[in-house]
Amino acid sequence: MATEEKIAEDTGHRIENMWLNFGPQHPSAHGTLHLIIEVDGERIVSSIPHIGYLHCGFEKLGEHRSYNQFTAIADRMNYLSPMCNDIGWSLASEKLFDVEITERCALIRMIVMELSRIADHMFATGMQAVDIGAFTWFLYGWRHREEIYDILERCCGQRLTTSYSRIGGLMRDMDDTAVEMALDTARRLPKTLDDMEGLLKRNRIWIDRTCDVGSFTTEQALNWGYTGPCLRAAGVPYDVRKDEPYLLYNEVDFDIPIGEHGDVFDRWNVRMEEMRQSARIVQQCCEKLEPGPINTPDNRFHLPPRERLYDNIESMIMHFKQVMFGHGTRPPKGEVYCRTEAPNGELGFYIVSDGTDNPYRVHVRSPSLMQFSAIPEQINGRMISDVVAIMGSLNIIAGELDR
Amino acid sequence: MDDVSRGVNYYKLSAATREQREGDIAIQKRALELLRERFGEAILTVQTVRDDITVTIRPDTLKEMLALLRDSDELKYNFLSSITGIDYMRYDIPEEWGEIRFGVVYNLFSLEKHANFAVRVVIPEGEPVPSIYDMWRTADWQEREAYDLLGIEFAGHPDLRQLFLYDDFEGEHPQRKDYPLKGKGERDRSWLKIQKAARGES
Repeated sequence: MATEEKIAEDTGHRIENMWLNFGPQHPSAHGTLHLIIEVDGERIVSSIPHIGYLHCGFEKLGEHRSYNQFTAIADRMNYLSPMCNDIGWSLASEKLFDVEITERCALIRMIVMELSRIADHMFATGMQAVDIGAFTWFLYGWRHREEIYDILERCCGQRLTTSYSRIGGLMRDMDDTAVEMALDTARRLPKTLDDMEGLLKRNRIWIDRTCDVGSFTTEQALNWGYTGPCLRAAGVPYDVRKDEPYLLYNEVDFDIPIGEHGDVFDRWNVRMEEMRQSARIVQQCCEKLEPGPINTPDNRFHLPPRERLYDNIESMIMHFKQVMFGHGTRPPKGEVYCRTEAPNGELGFYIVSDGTDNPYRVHVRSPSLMQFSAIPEQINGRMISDVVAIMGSLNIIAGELDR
Repeated sequence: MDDVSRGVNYYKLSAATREQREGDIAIQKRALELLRERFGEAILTVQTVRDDITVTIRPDTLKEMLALLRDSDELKYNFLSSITGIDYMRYDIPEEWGEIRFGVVYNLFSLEKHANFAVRVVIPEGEPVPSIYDMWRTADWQEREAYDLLGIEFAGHPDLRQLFLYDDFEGEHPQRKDYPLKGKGERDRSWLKIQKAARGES
């Protein structure tokens, strides 16, 4: 301080910190994240995050759509793993409607969710590496990511906007070829992951850029509402699949990797290990899968089979009831909160129902919001280059963050 | 219908899951007992939907109640999952809640005991809710979100400003029930403003 005052006296100029816009068009700002940072040289003094560039009013829109229609909105929120959002929404609705699903449906949902988790982690870790400068690395995993998208395409006809899940069932069955493809991918994945890890895990530059960068203690992570790999990297073994099991997660064998320091390296490491565990889950589910119905026998929730439509009056009425506005299935009045483990953390849907066929209020607890809100805590006092490493490690999805 | 009467194989919750669920319900009931002991009359209603308990209160006892849930050794609700603001304008609310407009729901989770709990605060329009920013920092942006979209004030929040909406989106809260889905023409207005500014008019 004394030097600054002296310079000011000598030259008549005051030295001030510079304010810098980081994003929203910065290539490493993952979509539309905007940080205003105050820098002293290259060191960050303070920072203000701004969000909302991608605010679409999904929650407001949900109040004007029926329960099944919102599935299509839910999967546009997270464009890396739309399956997890679809199924998360369906599980929340099923909790509200009090519907049970069939075993085959539960297993298929688990398979597609875990495949999406692998694809999401592959992208998250890959982009993290690209942001730091390791471009080749993510291409190694791209092959499996393409395979996974082929499987999803075979299941529902879409690679990105899947809308696969329905209340009480699925849009259509997963055929044997798709199951074989999933099994094949899950079997070959660990080998690829070993290769990928070998490229980075003991790489000097990688370690320098990631170790002890953005460290979070257990208390900090819990206080800031971190979930998913970022929380587990800080040493908390919280995984909704284990702590509040849904579907059949309690019957498959998998482990929860946890880190120690909560830094960028640990987050990367936890994600790599989680992909292996997801591959294990996919294998077990594929082996358990047996032929059977995928929809609940309660025909209030899905369209009747097409061939029944022409010779059966009940089916025809049910079909019209399903597709006409204001005639859909009505849930009981009440409020439910349902959490699932999405790839970047705990994804929760809070539904308020007033007994009509549209939700009265939909609230999405998106993991990205909590993770981005703690950005100033993590980057203040660090270098500008660390911002890129930290933002990449959080796996923030702007669509879900701004909703 | 004969199509669906074929043998349907429901998935049954495994023994471990069922045990865990029952443990969860037991913890929730214990939490309710403790709250009833200490804040007997402050609790307006207790609702149970699919075994999840929600307690409704007025804002004055909120912080004490959350502190009790968080710090009690039996419960340890140490994780704040989500804060949801709700506009109950067109909702058929229970009589006990009185003349209210908004509700704020705090969904808690106990990482140690694996149990849920939810506390709902109900307020009339214009009355503030105490901010729990000093208890959980994750409340920071979630309270800002409720303030931005619903106009619920949080007393004691250090930086209560808009989160999603842009700065000159004046005085409107789009998540409210009396706000139309298509908007009130703010977009046109701001577009006109931009055009006027480009032409050099005020």
